[in-house]
Amino acid sequence: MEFLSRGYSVLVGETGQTQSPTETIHRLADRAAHSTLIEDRRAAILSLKGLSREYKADVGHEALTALLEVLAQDKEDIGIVKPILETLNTLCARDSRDNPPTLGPEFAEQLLGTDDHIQLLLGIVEHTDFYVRFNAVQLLATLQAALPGPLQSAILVLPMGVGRLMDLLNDRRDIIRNEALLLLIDLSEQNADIQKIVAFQGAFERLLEIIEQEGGIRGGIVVQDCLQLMHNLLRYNVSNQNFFRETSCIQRLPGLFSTEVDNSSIKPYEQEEEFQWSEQNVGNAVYLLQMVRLLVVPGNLNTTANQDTIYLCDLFSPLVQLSLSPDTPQPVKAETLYCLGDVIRGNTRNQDVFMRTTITVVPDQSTAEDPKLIPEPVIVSIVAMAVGTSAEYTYAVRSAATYLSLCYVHENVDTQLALASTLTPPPSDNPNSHLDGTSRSAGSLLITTLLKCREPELTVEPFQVWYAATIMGHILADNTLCKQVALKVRWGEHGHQGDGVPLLQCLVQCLMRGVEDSIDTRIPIGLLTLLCMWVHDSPPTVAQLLQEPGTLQFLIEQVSRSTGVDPLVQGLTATLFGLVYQFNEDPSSAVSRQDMEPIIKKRIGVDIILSRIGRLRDSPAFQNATLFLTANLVDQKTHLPELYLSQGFTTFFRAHYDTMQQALTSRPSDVTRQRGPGPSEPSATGTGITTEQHQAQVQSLQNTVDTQNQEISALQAKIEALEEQLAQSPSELKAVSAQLADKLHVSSSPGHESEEMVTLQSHVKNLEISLQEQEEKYAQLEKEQEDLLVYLAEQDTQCKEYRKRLRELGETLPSSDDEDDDELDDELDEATADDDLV
Amino acid sequence: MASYAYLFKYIIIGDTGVGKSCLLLQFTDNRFQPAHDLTIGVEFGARIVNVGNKRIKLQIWDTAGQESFRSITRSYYRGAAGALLVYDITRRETFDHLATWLEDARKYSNANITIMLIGNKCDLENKRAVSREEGEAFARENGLFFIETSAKTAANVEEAFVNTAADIHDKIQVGVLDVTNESSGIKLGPTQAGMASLSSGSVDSRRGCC
Repeated sequence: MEFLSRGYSVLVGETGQTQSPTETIHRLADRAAHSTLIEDRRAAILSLKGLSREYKADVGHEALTALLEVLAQDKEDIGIVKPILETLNTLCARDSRDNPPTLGPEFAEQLLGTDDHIQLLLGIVEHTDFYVRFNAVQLLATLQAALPGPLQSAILVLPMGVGRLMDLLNDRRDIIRNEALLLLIDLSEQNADIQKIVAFQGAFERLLEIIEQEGGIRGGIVVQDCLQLMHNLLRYNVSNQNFFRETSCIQRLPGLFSTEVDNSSIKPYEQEEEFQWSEQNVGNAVYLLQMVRLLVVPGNLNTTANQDTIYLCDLFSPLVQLSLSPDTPQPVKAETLYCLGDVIRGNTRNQDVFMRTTITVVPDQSTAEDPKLIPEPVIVSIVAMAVGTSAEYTYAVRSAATYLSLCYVHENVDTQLALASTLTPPPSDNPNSHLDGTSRSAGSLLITTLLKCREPELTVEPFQVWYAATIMGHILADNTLCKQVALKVRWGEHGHQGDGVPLLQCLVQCLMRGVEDSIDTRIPIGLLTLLCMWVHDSPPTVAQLLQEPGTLQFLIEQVSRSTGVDPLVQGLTATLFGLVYQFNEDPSSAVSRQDMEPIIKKRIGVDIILSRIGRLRDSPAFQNATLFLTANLVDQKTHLPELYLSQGFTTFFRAHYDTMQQALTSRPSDVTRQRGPGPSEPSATGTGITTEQHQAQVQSLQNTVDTQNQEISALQAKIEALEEQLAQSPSELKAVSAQLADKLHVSSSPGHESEEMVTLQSHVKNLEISLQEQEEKYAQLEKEQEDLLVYLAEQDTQCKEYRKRLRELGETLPSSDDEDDDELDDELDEATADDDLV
Repeated sequence: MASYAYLFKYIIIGDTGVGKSCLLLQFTDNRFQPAHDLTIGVEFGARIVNVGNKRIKLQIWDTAGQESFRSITRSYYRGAAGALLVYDITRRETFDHLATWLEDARKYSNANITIMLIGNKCDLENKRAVSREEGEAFARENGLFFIETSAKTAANVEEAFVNTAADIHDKIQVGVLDVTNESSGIKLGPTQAGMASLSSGSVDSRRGCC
């Protein structure tokens, strides 16, 4: 009561007259600073605190200095420190009612004016009293929000600054820990130095610990806060990314994904309750997945190392599970698919692991009489998602599934071929076998989706075709073998016909329908990008394409039309036309390049073709093509995402545009294809070629033989080494399994032992995988060696031929009757002898 | 897998241009880069070394030597078990500044930190400006270890890092350093942490399978 009346008496003044607020506040500030009795100071401060909301400007201007002085002087007195912190908090906060609105930042600036104040506050943070500590942390957060920058620099100057704040993460009182988290998020967001110090002080481990305690993605908002802080520390900070990997933090990520309710201690044998996704859980999962993706950004230097670690700690399993589980909310599903894509992209081993990953499909109970469980490659489910309908999946999920499929075949001829081989329809009699879910394949899913365009009633969504075409284009891209496989695919019109129509022509039919019936442009765009990638560098494909007389006619018409064509479709058609011209060199082609020349030069005009292509290249759809096939922007009219071209296609286009342009503008006979360093074709006549040139050719061939010899011996050595490793692997396996058996015997307390079992089992699994890998590698090397030997033999024959020709040209060469001698060494000796003579 | 008995945190300090980053690069990657950009802030590197029969993981923070980064560097002293204090034997002033560096280190780091004084660029004998004896004397007076190295030829680089680790390891053995205290800059490796929860009988077989 006493201090109330005291405060009041100040307000009313001695004579009972009301004073102006400014006067009162001035008096209170004076009293707070100069009263000798601590009670008086306390009372004055409480009064100031009471007035600080309503008279913020006055309290700030009159009393801020005094408040800070008292804070420094009485920093041990909770009764004084707490109200001062609260008052400062009110003063420095941004408030929409402030006049002028810069009042908060102004006072914050004054407070941050000297490092002493920050040092003082960081000292108060160490106070154990709950309210003092809590308010001090809040004040720091307020200062950072009001005036970003100065607080960061001030904290950096103090050697213990960040450490003090990090200590708060260990506070047992959750409220303080959470408040500190928010502060650290703000402080670290834009400041790499703070990020590094925070990491140095052990933030990653502590944060992972908190997340684990809170239940991983099953936890609440604190988990999201922790993840956000980790984002801040990792994004754009390569040094911290290294540190994250080096401190074995990646290994702790798989556990965080668990959606299983941990009740093992209570009812170990009871069926676990099903996990229900809350909005917060979705947020947590998405944040966690994005954090994993920060570690494997396509093209980053650290990506491969992180991908390897992710594989080794088996982050695959939870990711695959999340991506396929029907319970997973779609935003999480989409992010998981992207994450998987980034984890395998450009990493042959991870792509292969993904290729071998299967899941067991439980057939629909209503239709399947025989509930046989059939393992299905995961990629099939992924492709099914990509070409699914919008009723089943959001565009984000379908884009993500497509991205994952593209990552799966990215720069990997083996996975490309694995998918291409499934394009051939299964030999079974039932063409609809894919419908019952038992024998569907990635390829058949793609083709059936694409060919739905031919049906009289269009039952397919434009994006189903677009996604399918994009995936298929990337399966064939730059892979001669896959193109050959695809060329052989014939698709029966009604199933039981023996032959059917070649897939390529089916697709052209789809394209024609798509253009003529002016269905949504994504259908023709998708098909055209697929055809471009297929035709490129593949004369047999061009030949098959030109077999149908209508195809060329169609292309010509589309390119020459001046109105009524979508510019993207026209540009892509022109590109396809250009590629057809460039790679039309198969002798069996129905229309030769020479035949096409007048069409280009006279009927359409090269400039027209190039301008059509130029319009494509300059279009926003082309310029904005994203790697991740982002489906965020939605067209207001069609409600479809603004997504037309994949970055895979635009990259392909940019890489090959120049040579195509050259081909279009030069004479047909001058169009030369860039081939590998293979043997040049023998010229028609021998005239004009001097013996020196021949000599040089022989010499260069000789060199090739030499280098290949070296390569062969290197490969042989490698094979030997691999064989040795292979021989060792079983014994290692045996040792491990023996240990495993021992463990089983020894096992008495199930707790730790089972943990050990799991690690041992994973060891065995890893060893098995590496064994398999080595076997594969061995087989591959053997095949390579064989190829090289064949190549060598070819070179030999050629060598002989040249020698023969040299002789025909009158060059005197020593007789080499033993030319059919297969001994390489003899051959080499002879060659050098030849040199000596000439 | 990379299991280890202990993890030690190091920092490398010293004037700008004495070769701190080159020492780290030589130690972690076995290479030398004559033209290195100025270190901005702090960079991180890691490697496992053997001390006796124990594997020890070193986490090393390479700091910027410039004066403007001095205050940031100070945040790293706490939480480091070892400090490599580097000077350039061809530049007298880098030796003269050692006292300032040492003052910082004493002020902000743990009392038990192991400090290794390193005279770098010992391959440039003809340009030497600080004699070996002076270095030794400074180390002796201040209770530091001393070694001359060349990040270029890799001479003594390994020793500088490993000898520091050996001393920290000794301190753990005699109980001067507390492994459980986070700010000591030492942590038990995952193997040992696991061992604590396992019955002693299964320890040996567990090792064998890794």
